[in-house]
Amino acid sequence: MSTICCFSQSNPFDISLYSGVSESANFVRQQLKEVAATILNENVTFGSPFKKTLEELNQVLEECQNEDWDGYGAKSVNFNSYMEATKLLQNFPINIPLPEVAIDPDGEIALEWSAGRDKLFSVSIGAMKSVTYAGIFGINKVRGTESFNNELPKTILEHIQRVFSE
Amino acid sequence: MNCLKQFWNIFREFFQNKLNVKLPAQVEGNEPIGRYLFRSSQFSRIKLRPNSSAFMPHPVTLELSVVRIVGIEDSDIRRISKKIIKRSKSLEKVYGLAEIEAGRVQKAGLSVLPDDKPFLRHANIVGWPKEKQEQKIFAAELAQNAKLKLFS
Repeated sequence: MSTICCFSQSNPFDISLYSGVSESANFVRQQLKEVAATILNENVTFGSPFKKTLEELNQVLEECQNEDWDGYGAKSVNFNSYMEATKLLQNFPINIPLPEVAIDPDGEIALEWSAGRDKLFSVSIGAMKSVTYAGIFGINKVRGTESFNNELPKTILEHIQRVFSE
Repeated sequence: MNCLKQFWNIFREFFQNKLNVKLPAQVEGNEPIGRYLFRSSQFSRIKLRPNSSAFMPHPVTLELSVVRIVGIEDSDIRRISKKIIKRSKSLEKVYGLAEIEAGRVQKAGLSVLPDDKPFLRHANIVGWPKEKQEQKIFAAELAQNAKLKLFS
């Protein structure tokens, strides 16, 4: 039996993407669900980094719900962008450092990762399930747009990992 | 008491005059400029750096408002920010300033255009591309080269 293991931030034992359909696969799935439920209920610190980021996101929503929140005429936070950002964070891979939460002047939620002076990667979450990204890795630069469906696209994950690679 | 008042008036006038000094129409490469940070999400307190979102231009005008801070003290920089807060309905406090040399902006391919509006020493960073992904690259470059100056 071969399976794909995809840990998420909100539920690292989320095995909904497991491809196994046999009786034993179902058994493993059920067992993991029970273990996950126990850990998530008992270990408060396990989910705390995600909670902190979600709190930051909510703070941004609160601070930037009016026009001109930056003093330079920025648009108020786009609620759909906020909702999409929340969904993405809930399905965030646990092995990726959590981002800093910000907002762009056009109202889109932005998530940013940086390491030192030379590595920075930022994504802006659009309301229509698309992310615009840009990154600087030393002398190399990347930019683009990707569509997504509740999870960060593979390209984005690779760029985030690149921020923290040697 | 009168003496103290007089001293305060002279002192205040001196600094107000300093702020009113007309700066050269052209911004030199070594001239420091700053972007006020009015929201805590515009910078990282842990990494002590501004976020790239703080350097994203206005979505319609494609301009990024900055202040020319050459020759003035932190207290003057704060004084200008207080004027902006007073004018705005949504701002309550200024957290700090993301400071960058104009030369870095020019090196990135953008220009600094002084206009002294809506206040003296105001300028705009212009020349932004229309595509957001390109804007983000420029903003990231500016954020990387900026220094964070926190007021509180």
